Amino acid sequence: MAKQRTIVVGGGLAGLAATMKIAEQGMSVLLVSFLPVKRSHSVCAQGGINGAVNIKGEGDSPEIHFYDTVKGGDFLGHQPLCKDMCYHAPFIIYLLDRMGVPFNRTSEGNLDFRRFGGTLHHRTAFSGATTGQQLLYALDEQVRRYEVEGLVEKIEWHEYLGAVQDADGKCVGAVIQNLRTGDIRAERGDAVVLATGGPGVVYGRSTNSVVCTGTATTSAYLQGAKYGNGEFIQIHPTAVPGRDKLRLMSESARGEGGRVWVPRKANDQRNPKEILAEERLYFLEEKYPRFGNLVPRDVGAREIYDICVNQGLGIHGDMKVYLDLTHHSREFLDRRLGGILEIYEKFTGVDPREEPMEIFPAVHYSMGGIWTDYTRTADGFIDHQSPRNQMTSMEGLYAAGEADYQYHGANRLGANSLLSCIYTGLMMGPGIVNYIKNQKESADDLPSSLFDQAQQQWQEKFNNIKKMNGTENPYKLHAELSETMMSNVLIVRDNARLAATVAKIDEYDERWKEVECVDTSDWTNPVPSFVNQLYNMIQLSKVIAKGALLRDEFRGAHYKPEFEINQPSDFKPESFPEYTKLKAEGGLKENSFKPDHLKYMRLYEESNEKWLKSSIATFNGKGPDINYEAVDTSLIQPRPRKYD
Amino acid sequence: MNSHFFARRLHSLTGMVPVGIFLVYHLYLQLYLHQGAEKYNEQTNSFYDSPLAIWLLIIFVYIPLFYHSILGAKLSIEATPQPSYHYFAHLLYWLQRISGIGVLLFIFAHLYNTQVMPLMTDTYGQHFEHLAEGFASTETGWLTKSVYLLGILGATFHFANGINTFCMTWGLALTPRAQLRVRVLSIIVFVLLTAAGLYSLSAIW
Amino acid sequence: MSKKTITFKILRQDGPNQQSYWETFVIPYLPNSNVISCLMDIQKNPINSEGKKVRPVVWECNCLEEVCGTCTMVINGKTRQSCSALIDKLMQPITLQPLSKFPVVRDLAVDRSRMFEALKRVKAWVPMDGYHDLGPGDKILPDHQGVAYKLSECMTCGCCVEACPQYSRDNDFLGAAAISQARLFNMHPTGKLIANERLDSLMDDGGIAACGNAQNCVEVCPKSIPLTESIAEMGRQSSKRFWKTLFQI
Repeated sequence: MAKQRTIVVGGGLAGLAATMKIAEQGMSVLLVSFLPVKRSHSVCAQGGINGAVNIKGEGDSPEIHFYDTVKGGDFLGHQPLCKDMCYHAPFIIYLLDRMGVPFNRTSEGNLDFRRFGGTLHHRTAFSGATTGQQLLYALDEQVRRYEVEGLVEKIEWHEYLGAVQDADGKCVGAVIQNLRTGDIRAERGDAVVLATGGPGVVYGRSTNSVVCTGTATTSAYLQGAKYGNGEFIQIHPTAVPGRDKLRLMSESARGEGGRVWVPRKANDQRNPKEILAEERLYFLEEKYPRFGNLVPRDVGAREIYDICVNQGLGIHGDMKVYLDLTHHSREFLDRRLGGILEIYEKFTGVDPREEPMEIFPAVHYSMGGIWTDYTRTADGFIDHQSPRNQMTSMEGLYAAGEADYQYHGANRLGANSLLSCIYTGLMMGPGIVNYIKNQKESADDLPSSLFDQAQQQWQEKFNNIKKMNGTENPYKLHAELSETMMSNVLIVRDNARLAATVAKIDEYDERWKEVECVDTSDWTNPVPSFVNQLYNMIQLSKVIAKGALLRDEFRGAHYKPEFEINQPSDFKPESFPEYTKLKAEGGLKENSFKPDHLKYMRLYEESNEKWLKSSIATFNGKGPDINYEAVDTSLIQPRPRKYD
Repeated sequence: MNSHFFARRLHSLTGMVPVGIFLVYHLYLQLYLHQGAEKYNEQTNSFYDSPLAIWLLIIFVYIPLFYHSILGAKLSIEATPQPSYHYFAHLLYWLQRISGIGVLLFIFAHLYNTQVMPLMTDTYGQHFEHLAEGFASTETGWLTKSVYLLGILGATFHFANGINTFCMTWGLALTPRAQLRVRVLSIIVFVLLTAAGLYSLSAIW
Repeated sequence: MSKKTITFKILRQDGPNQQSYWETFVIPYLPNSNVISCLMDIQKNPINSEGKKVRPVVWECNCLEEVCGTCTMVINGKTRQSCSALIDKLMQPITLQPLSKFPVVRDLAVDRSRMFEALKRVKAWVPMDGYHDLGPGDKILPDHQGVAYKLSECMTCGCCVEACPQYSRDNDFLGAAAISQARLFNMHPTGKLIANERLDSLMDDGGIAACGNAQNCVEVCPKSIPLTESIAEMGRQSSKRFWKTLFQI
């Protein structure tokens, strides 16, 4: 049999982790990346990576990490995967440590951990405030080693356009475009991994990098792969406004004691330092005494929205609140948060060590992504040898990292994304190798006509794009699309506006046909690429907006006030398992619980029966058809979330 | 290690050890200018009393000097000007190269003036008189004086600043603090050597 | 200086072996702009100062928060990231040029592959037995971590070599970034197991000996990495190896 290889698309954490794990087993890898891999969006992750190492002796354990993760995701996460990930987290941190990641240390020389949102434990290992950058570099270095050894071939400045499928629909390669020469070619691969990150650019300005258009994952969806939970878009509570980008201000700022507040008096024009403590409203600490400033992101973003929009208490009446670190010493801040504070200072001209930062919520992460599969073991873990792990609904096509959908449910906890990226990359490795070894024939043995056809099909598409000579500037059209998404599919969602948005996106779809390809040259021309990306972004917007429209409930990052079930303030989440138990045993009486609790739990149960499901989008040739699939919640019984 | 590394380390070493030490010794000798012609000539000529002197000079001074200057000139030519970066160390970098080439030209003139010409006119050994005459000449005296002034300044600067680079190259001064100390040292060396050179010249100015 | 518009003079080039030319763009002033947001504005309305519709300017960028290193260019004569180049702090007209030490791909986009090749030359990685569970790594004290972290912030952006008079398109100098990475891995508990291999690369053609001590690198480094300290440290390590090998032969 001819030589077999895997194509990995994307050089961020997930792609690099998959590459090195596959290469470690002696399988060659073709690594395709838009940019030199060291410049991938993973560098933007700041705060850290979660793993219950329990260095502080707080009694933390992977089981608690697992619980926090599924609770943070409002129980929409696939529990065996979440469990396996959390149990592997300490090992992953040790592995990164061995690779040379300069994690911060305790005075004894152990790994140091800090607090992050959605947990009460010190569980986040960190490397200053540029942890993502440091992890990415460590993986990049390992892949470079394999590159020198010849097992990995890295081709950068190439974009993934689509999968090559054989007669049975199996993925046997990838069509890629050289962004320098514009050449399109089909590469043979026995398995293709999409580790292409999230779609933040759909929203225009977000905390995402400019390559995060979601084009590759959308392309898989357009070719028939299922797309899961598209409507769950995480809004990060703390970002710094900018014209070109909304720069992230890491949750670690709050993990290290940063306090969020607004002046109690609306439109207080004073300098924040002149506002006395009793004149400040520390609204998160007040409302959530247990978790305080470290509530999960969906909660934090909603509270900021509420303070600014509903209560009109934002700084100078704007959608902005203070994030205050000035009570810490400069030395402490520089050692633990240096990177992000420098960034803030560079871009705003204000020293955050001396003055409170002005921050606001911004689009940050997509919990949803391509649907992928897994094989669970009887005790609720994952069988790492299974070729089904991380495989999409298109055989031979895999997805990992932010591009997949199962780990973070309706809301991701901070510092779980670096974990899920590296975990999926490493976990899928053995399964992919098994998958390829089980193939009867190698992609290399297939007739070249198959690949020529795929190549020609894309070549034609791009020829047509270059001929587009309408009246719409693609960059302007993108700005409009993102404006629509930003105003209507964000923190607070409303069915009337969502319906209008779905219609509006259909209009953009029509207007896309009238785009002018403003640069038709052949050499290093980003315009045709962008026109294609824009098409995919429009298609993905439909998935997000329609998913949001159809999901009539409030879950995690998907907040529809209309369907909110008000939780009694003295309600305890543990009551719910008692309630279901009593109900199953037939012992439930009207006086088993307080009447308002009982009413609440009945409504909650009813809502869960209908909506505790993954929304699955499939492309019908025009737009998404959305169906719902069950989620494996067999390990931890879903219950109402509570953080106060 | 390969020839490139060896060549560059040798360049650094030759600049400091034989050539640098010779410069210090040479400037020291010039202090005798203040003691008058007889004493000065005696001091300078006594060096050549030994039959090995000329060989020592060739092996320990001329060859290293020749090597240091040829490679140095080559490297200077290969450097890419970066005119928009106005940092102090960058200025020193270029002054080092310019002074190096200047000193090389000066050495040729100096050798001709003090060694070749006396041999041709058969007045070898009367070093003091040659220098004094050259300085006193009504027509070319100003030129000789300027050349000597620049030559001394160039040589002391090149040597003193070379200490900096030497410590960097060999890793003797690691931290910015240590590099600052070396810089202070090099400034002291520069001031002392320049002062000594100018003081010597003042005897025949 | 008028605040109502922003004037850019951009050195453009259609392809690798083409003639470069200057093109001026005048765009409306918007508060809180940086060079990238202006280039994005030009992209949305690619009309030069003569009112002619031209091809949008090509440049590279990604993270826009100065951690990926992609958008490095020469702005008003100095190398830096264009994302953190705020318009209000720049003299107009603002000149944009591609990095001069690398082959131009198109307009402001250059090919910095040489820098990544340099990382291969100095074996900038930790050798590992495998990616399975082998327990935690060595204990490392906070001070040691502090030094390593600073060095590890290098994003291979190219500023140090762009400003270096010793680094040119026709030599093979590794440059400050790669030398500093060699130091980083030579100080790591297991990275140092192949320290001599890294030193051998540094002592090869275009290695550390090509440094001329101009020290522009440390001045222009956007992450304030102590590059001259790294060069001195690697100078020391290679000196030791130099004397050792000299007397072993």
